[in-house]
Amino acid sequence: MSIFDKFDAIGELYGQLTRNGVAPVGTPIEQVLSPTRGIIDGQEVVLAGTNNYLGLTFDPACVEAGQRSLAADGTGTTGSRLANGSYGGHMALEQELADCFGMRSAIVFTTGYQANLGVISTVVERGDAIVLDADSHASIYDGAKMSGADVHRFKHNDADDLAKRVRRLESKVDNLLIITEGIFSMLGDRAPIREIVEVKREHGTYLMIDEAHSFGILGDKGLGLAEQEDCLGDIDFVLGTFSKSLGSVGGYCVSDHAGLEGVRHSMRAYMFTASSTPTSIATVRAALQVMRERPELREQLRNNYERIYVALSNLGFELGPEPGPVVAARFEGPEGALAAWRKLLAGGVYVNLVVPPATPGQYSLLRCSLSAAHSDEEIEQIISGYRRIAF
Amino acid sequence: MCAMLEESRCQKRVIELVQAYCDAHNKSLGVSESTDLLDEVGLSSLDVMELVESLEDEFDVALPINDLADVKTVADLTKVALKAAQ
Repeated sequence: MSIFDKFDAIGELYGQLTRNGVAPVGTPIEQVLSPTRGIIDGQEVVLAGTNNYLGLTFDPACVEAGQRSLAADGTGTTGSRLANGSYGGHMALEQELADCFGMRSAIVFTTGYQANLGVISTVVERGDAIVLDADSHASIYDGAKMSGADVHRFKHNDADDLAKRVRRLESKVDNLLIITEGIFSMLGDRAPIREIVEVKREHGTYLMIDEAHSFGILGDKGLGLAEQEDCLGDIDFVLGTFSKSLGSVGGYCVSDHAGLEGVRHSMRAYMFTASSTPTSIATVRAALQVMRERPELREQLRNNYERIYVALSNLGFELGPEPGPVVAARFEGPEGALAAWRKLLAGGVYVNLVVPPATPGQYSLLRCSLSAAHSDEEIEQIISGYRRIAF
Repeated sequence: MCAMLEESRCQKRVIELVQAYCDAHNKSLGVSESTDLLDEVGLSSLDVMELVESLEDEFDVALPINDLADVKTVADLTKVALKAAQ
């Protein structure tokens, strides 16, 4: 048996998915024309599967900031911050993030995945316990697994189930870390964060929230669900990504704990990897400024996703429990979902196909992500596409 | 109550729960401590989680998912539940 035999099943599945046309996983996008339009399989399509929530990837201020930095600071940092040094942009962005959240400090990571992996795997250890939402992102599970702590799941968005598990564990562990997300990536639903905060307060645990899909979208300042629900002061670690609303790449952790600087110097996912390129940092800083100065982008995004949610619901699709920047339609089997995905693409609409085990439960999803940059006509084109695949 | 959890009582209950699953799914299988939960009973990962939840509620314990990765048999699951109850 070779080291590759265990991949035969996944190779076969990928082969089935790509046999009759464009690959629905890792779909080749031949050209990106704008935040909302691209060319796939020779055809111009509406991009509704790229999580480009604020539509900033082509924002003139962000592009110009990136170009200026590329010329001034070079193409890369050629190593980690601990070994090679921190650039001015890294430190300025960390200060800006800490200021935004009104917290003591922030750490910037090369990707959002590394932010979760680094922080979670480091802040708890053997003898501690993590209680995480069952629908958490893979990066949260991976960080938890690497931590050495006991890992427990609570039922998705069920604060009573969380409380039950915390009560069973609290006398048996040294420290207990609860982890949830602001908006969940698969169904676009939100955590009952106030109820979760109540559990944290009652039992004296730590609480971490991943705002990857809610940063830039929720709250008066766009800081995410915790800001919107007025409970940032109860969150020990706010994590997030720059690769969605801010249209760049990277991740962050913000905390009011003085101990965060010690964490920085202990995280392998931070210490032993190349730091963010100056260009990435410059585009993130510019996008943060746009996010602060143009709250109407959040309003436009909300209008777009509420319109899609209502329209798809009226067409009979089974959707997530509430409108959000991700609107996911459920299909019983992967075959039906794949056929619908191909039909949507043929009609000029690109969304994401997600099949088990990446989905919660046994169903498949067509996951549509909306952008503030989608025009009324593009929203109508997306709805028309779904009308053609309605049951 | 957790600290009082006895191995025999725990094993008996695990067997009863797995047997109930088999009966509900028309599987003619006599469940014992050596029964393989995946290969013989055919539990999916979701089924295992439901089974674990039943055990957790029954014995008021919390079973860490990192301990469940190596569970194959009824006896293995019993050991994890007993460890969590200590």
